[in-house]
Amino acid sequence: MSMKQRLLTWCLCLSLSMAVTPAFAEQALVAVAANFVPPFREIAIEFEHATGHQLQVVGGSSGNFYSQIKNGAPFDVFFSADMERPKLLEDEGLGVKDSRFTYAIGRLVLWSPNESLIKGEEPLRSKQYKLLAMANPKTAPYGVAAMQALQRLELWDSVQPHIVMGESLGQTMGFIESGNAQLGFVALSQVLNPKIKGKGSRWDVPTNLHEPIKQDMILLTKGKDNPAAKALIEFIGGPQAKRIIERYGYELK
Amino acid sequence: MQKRLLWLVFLSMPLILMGMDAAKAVEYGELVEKDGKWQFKETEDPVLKLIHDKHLITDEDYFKSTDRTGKNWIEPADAVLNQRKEIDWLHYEKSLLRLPDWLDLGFENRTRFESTDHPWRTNQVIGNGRTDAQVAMRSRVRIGLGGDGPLRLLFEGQDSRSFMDKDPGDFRDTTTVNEFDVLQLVGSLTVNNVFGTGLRTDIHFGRMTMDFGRRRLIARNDFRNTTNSFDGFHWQIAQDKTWRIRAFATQPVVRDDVRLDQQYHNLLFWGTYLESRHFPWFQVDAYYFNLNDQRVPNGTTHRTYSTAGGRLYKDPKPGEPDYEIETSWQTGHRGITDHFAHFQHLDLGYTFNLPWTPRLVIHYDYASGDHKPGDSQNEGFDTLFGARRFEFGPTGIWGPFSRTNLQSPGWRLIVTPAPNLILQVKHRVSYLAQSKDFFGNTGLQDTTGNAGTSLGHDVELRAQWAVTSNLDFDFGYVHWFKGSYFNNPAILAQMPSGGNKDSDYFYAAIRVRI
Repeated sequence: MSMKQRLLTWCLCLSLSMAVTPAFAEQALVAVAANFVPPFREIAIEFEHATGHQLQVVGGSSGNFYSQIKNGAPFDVFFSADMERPKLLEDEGLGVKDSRFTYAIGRLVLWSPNESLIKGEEPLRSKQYKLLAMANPKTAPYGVAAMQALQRLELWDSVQPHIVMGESLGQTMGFIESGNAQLGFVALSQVLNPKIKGKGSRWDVPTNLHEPIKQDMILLTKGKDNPAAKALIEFIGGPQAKRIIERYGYELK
Repeated sequence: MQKRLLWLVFLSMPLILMGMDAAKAVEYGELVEKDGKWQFKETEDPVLKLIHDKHLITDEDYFKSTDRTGKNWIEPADAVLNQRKEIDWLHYEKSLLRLPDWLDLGFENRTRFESTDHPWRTNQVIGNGRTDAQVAMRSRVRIGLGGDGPLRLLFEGQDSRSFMDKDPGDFRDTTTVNEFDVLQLVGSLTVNNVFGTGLRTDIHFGRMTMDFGRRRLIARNDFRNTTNSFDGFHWQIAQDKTWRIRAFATQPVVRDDVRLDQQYHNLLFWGTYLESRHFPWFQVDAYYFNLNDQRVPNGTTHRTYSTAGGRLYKDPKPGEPDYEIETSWQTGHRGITDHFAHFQHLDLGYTFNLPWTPRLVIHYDYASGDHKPGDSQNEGFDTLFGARRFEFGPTGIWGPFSRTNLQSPGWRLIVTPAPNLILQVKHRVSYLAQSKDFFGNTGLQDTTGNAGTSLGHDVELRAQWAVTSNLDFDFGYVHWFKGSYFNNPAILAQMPSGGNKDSDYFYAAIRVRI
């Protein structure tokens, strides 16, 4: 074999060996609730390394994803911020039956950028604030949990005049970060975001003060034959993903 | 033979690279519906993604970089002074060099080629229809200390220069050239929740650039190659986006093209600006500025002006009409003469709820000129430190129209075929407000008034394409159909030969930021 032929063979072999690998990789389109995007970023990297499959990730509000899926959006997997929407999709035949499960349980926290403001539930009782931010219970499960906690602490009626409601957790956090509200109820995962972590003061609301904030995922009908989608569901239930989910302040079943 | 082997290896490379990269991607984006079809659109910055995929930065650095932009962007102190688009872009080197959160670094370069013909200014000698071209280059370096605050220090250096500017008739001045100078050196304090009231306050001191309102009177110049800056103090107090009050006391920086810029104790500029955003249909600005310029020993050029005015407007939204009215009044003295001048602006617009969201705007501008030059009353509006590109077309070596002695109706159509692509067509008709006064800063004047007021009309085409927040292109073309004013013998005698013929202007610019 001449030098030229050897080089040609080498190039072709190398090209084929590398180009052929992805032929086994599939791609899945995934809808992820905004509060779960930070941990999902890490999970996606681990998933890609472990399986070679590709993911296209769209982050946003669960309500918006629900209506997009109803209108034919070709998502393969849906990570919702609640239990209701995956259940509805399953009932409506848009989700694969029995594929639904709780991938994380959210933790509610009372947080303030002021380092000395929050010591347990005390500031809620002594009204050491002008405005208290929380997500709207009509649109956000964390809002429902905050309302339940305030009701069980028998503070719901007295804090009413001081409440400012965000349409989402992101907006609620914006109220607090900007100083318009002195404190507020947000997700622990938001407070553990590297940008915020270690700043201000917080109280992790005991889980017995509200119903669990269960976040469910579901394999959608469009993804039922997609190996990447099925592998993702399996991966989420595995130890690597669980470690990341817990690190972001979520609880597991 | 060896050459063929090299080609073989070269041609194999794309295949090898494709093979290496195809399986290495998690893409983040959004799902959009277009013509009944759902499409995934990647929203990540391609360069940052490449840096990450090549493992030049860690996952954490990558996430931090993306968190610093978009919806997670926290308004820094200098966004109070300038537009967000001036400072909000991905700083790759911050991630690559693993700079700490409290340190920021940024570089910017904009290079523009521009060309015009049939010059008309009195200080241009080129004639006979020759085309004049120039390359204008502006480079900036930004170093920020203090991260998100509350205390922050910012240095911004700027180097503005031009090339191809040595031909006869080319003009080179401090609107184009200002080599190696300090544009900003500003310290700031931000308090996000003043005494628990929820108000935000910012204090700035040092050398700074400023934007106020629609930027007609005070602007951090964008199209122009050099930038206005001010030495002094600025303060704001604001309630989120609902209202804010700003006040400043400064010495405007006087640019020198090669030496360091300086300020003068007898050039002072101060004022206050109020903004209310309580009602979307009736957003209100009110302002008062005071300029005291006594630099030149010759008292006839002293400027002692008070400028008071206001602005009413509604922001454009698809399917809704919008408007903008600005009125500004100037009183004081120019030398020993009394000064009384004003300018008025009106925009009526409508944004259609159609593909490409076309927006049609009708403009009208009136800026007073001197009714009777040489008498005891001066009436020419002084534009202070404003910008005019967005209303009167490109500046640079073009820019015949300015906000003094002018009245100009016009219209503009803007379409956005893609979120990062803006196409515009504009047409304006222009007249002198007073026939005996100067035509802007061109030096042309007919004190008899016989030349009339018709300056003609101009048509402008513009395309702006922002590839990413770090790379954008800007292209423009203007044709100016000159009016009868330029055919008057008195005006013909002041212009270079052929100055009365129609002029064309073309430019192409690229801006890179890292």
